[in-house]
This record gives sequence, C-alpha cells and structure tokens, in this order.
Amino acid sequence: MQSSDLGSGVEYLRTAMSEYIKDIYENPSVSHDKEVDRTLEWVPSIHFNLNDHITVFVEVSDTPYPRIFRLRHAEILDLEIPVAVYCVCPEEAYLNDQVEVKKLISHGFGLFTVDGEGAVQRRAVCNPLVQRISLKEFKDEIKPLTAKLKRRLTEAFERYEHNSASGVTDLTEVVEGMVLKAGNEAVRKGWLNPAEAKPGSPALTIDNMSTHPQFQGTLAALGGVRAYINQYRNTSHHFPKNKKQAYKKYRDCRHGFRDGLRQILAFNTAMKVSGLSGSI
Amino acid sequence: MSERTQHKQLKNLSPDSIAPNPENPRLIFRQEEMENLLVSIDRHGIQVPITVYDNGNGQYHLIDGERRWRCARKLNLRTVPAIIQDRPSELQNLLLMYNIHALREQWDYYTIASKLKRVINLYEDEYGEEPNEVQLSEETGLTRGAIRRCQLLINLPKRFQSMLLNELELPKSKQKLSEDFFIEMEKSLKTVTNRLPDYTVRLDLIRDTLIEKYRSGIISAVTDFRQLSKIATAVGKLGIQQKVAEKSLDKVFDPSNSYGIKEAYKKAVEFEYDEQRAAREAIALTEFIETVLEHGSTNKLTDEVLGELEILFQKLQQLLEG
Repeated sequence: MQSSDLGSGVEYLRTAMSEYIKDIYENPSVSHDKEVDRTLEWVPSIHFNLNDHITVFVEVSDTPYPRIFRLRHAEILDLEIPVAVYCVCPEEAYLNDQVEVKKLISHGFGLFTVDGEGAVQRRAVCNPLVQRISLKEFKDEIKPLTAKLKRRLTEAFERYEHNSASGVTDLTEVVEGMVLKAGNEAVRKGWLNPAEAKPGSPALTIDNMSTHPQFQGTLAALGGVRAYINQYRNTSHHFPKNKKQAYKKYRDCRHGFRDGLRQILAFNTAMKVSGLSGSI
Repeated sequence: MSERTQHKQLKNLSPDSIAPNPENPRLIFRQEEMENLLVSIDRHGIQVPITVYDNGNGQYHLIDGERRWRCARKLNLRTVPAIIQDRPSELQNLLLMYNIHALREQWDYYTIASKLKRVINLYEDEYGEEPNEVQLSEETGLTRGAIRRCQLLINLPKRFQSMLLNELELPKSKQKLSEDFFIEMEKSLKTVTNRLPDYTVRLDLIRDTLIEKYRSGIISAVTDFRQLSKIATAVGKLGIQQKVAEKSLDKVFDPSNSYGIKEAYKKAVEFEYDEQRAAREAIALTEFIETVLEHGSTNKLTDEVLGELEILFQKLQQLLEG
C-alpha cells in the first residue's frame, strides 16, 4: 500500500516516529494509512491503541499544524472512542513556526518533532480531545473566585489534564471541603449545632443547613452541590470496560469538571450572601 | 508520433484500487499546495476526473491526477471519478504526462529533467535515432529553452542532484538553492571549462565552493554567474591573457576567502567589456554621422543632439591629445 502522506519527502518522519512508538509504547500494533472508522473522512498517517481505552492518531507533516486537524476536529469528537491526536513534524519547522505550534497546542493537539539525526522528541502531550477543557475556558470559569480557591482549583485542573476521572474526584473533594467549612462556620455562628455538621458527612450537613432559616435563600446552590457530590465523588472508581464506555466516561468527566466549577461558584456566592466565607 | 485510437470510460473507482504511476516525472508534492487542494476537494469534491489505465488485474495506474488521488486517500473518500484509458506504451505514458502536465502548470525543471533522459532512450529504441532538440520539444510540448535547462540539471553529479531535490522539498519561499541557481551555475561552469579545460578536473570542488559562497551571501545573486562566464570568454574575445582570467577565477574558486564573482569581474574584465561596448557605440555613431553628411541632413539634427556632439567633440579632443 502506498503512503498517503500529502507532501513528498516526509518518509523519514514516519520511520522515526514508528521506531519511537515501538520503543516507548512497548511495541503496540501500529497501523499505517489505514481507515480508522468509515464515518471519519480522514486517514491518519499512523494510528495505534495506547491502552484499552485511548487511541492515538499521528499525522506526518512538514508543518507543525496540518490543516486536516482543523477540518476534522468535530468529527474526531463524534467518533465515540477517546482519541489523542498528534502531529509529527521536522524539528526545524517546530523552531521556525512557533505561532502555529502554540495554536496547535492550545487547540488540544500534541506534537512530536524529529531532528536531523532522526531523534524524536515529544514537545506537547495530548489528552483525548473528548475530555479537553482549554486553559482559557478553565480560567474564565474561576475568574470571580478568591486566590485561595483558584490555587486549589488549578491543582485539580492539572490533575484533570493528566487523568480526567481523578481530576473530577479531586474537584468533588474541593466541593466537600467548601461544605465542611460552611458547616463549621455555621456552627460557630450558632446557626447549626455541631452534630448537624459532622466532618465526612457533606450530604447530611447540606440537608441540615437547608432546614435553617439562614440558608433559605441558598436552597438552589445547596441542592446543586449535594447532587454534584452524589454524582461525581466516585468517578475515578468506575473503570470503563471498553473504548465506547471510556469515550462516554471521558466525555462525562469533561461535563463533570465544568459543572463542578459552576457549582463551586454558585455555592461560593450563596454562602457569601448568607454571611459565610464560601471558601475552603 | 501516430495518434492511437483510445477507448475511454468514466467510472467511480476506489482510491485503494489505484496505484501512482511509476513513470510520473513529478517528484515534489509541497504540503502547502497539497493542503490547499485538500481543502478544495473537501468542500467541492473532485470536479475533474483523474485519468488511469487498467493494468489488467483489477488495479489501475494513474496517468493524470496524483495530487487529487493523494488528497482523496487522505480524506478517506469512497470513490473518485476516473477516466479509464487503454494501457499506453512506456514512451506514450511518459509523453502523455509531459503533455498533460507541463503545458498546464509550471513544473519544477528537476521534475521534468528526471524523466527526460528516459524519454530520450525510449525514443531512440523506437525510432532508431536520438531525438534532436526540436523533436524532443514537439513530442514533450516543452520549449527548446526548457529542454536545454533540463539537460543542465540531468548532467549534474548525483550528489548535487540530491542537494537540489532536498531544497525543492521546501516551500518555495524557503528555498535558497533554487533550480535557477544550479542552472546558472552550470551554464557558467560549462563556459569556463570550454575555454579553460584545466578546471574540469576539480569541477565538484568548484561547485562546492560556489554553493557555499552563495549560501553565505558572498555571491549575492544567481545572475552573477553570467559575469563568471564573461571572465572566461574574455580570454579569446577581448584579448585578456589567460593567466589574468585564471588568477581571478582561482580566487573565486578558492573556498578560504570571501572573494565574490562581482569583484573578480570588476578587477579582471569589466574595463575591457566597457571598452568593447564603447567601441560598438562609437562605430554606430560614426556610421550615423556619415549618413547625415552624405544626405546633407545636418539641419535636421536637433539642438539637443548637436549639443551632445559638441560635448563629445571636446571630450575626444581631450582624450586624443593625451
């Protein structure tokens, strides 16, 4: 079968990348120029399964940001398998076109480069596109919060970028921490008795808070965080059995993380309205 | 060449059933240009069918449309529209591609040159004689100038051909050593070695030096090579002593200095060329004045011309009186 590279003279990139995959990812079964899915109108230069869940596409290219990535971004998200998409380009192109490199990375793609000696270097890690939350999106969501909360949430976001389920679980812990702090503050103010705000029982604390007059204006926020904790606290414990489940899980993690950020903001605002700090 | 009766069919074929034509002289597919085509095909589909021939076992070979076919494969298209022609002979196949492509868009000369030698050999096999430049031009649709330029590239040593090919892979804007560079360099070196054959033995070293000097900007333009030719031709043409020309050329061909072609030209032969030009112009002026005097048409000369002649007269007096 002939190579389906668009440009000529890039065969050395493919060879170097194939060796790298063999070496780093323990010799997985690698497909060259093979259709991934009938519905996907793109044949990546290389694709392989990173593990039972994640498929990696690698496009061999003369430039750091191949146009096919822009054309097929939406279709990749519709594939129902978690896909991490990388470009492999010459090191020289990487050094000479930093503008395109930055765009590529900010759009959620990864990058490998090959130098004159054929050595491959990973320049940007890529997570499956279906779980991707851009840094800009994240920063916009946390903008109104205090510095202390922002620092903690940034930690959760970094964890999310490496492991989305673990990141969501971490975010749930932030929400639980906020509930615990609100409960303690309410006890200090004499609104709740200590038995109504026990550590480790956020659902009970929320239920108790909602029965007191000081929290009557915050019932929506309280209900929101209660449901959120219930739904996402064990996210990282459920291991997907196949690619389709993994796709759904990564997609749900994305929703979960973004939803968590919104719940935190709503809870923070509601607690402040009630006269509490709304912090952790 | 006689016209063949063609049986043509239009069909939708799977891109996987098509193989590229091994005789395609086109070697360079620049990604930027390919991506533009990819976007166009993605939006509008393949508007012009590709052309293939059936190789007899359910597989087809491309005659025309490798770029469209590459894009179709990248876009995972189910089918591409294709005109199926009879299987051509090897020579017909090559000539078809020259006529299809070379007339439609500007190909890189190296692309054309790479298969031109094969065309010449096949033509010789079929007709019993090597085609001359005119025949080659008629058969391939290339101009004679283009054929001459191709032949300069064909005759480049392999090492320099690879150097050029690597350069051609780059986007046009990033190419430093263009085809024009090699063509101009080779033309001038051909002139130099014709006039001064001693340089033939170290031609590759000279090429290396000239390439390096061009890369580093010591030779600033590809047109400088024309002055290199003029240094060599000045030996017989202008009476310049061979050792004077050689001394200048040796300095240009020496990799250890930063001596360029322009400097060598200026030092060795510029005056003599200017003198030659002045002599030609003096002859033309004398002939003109003789005609004016013969026809008694002095009164037709404008004041401006008379003024210029007056200045010239004074300068000539100055010059001739020493």
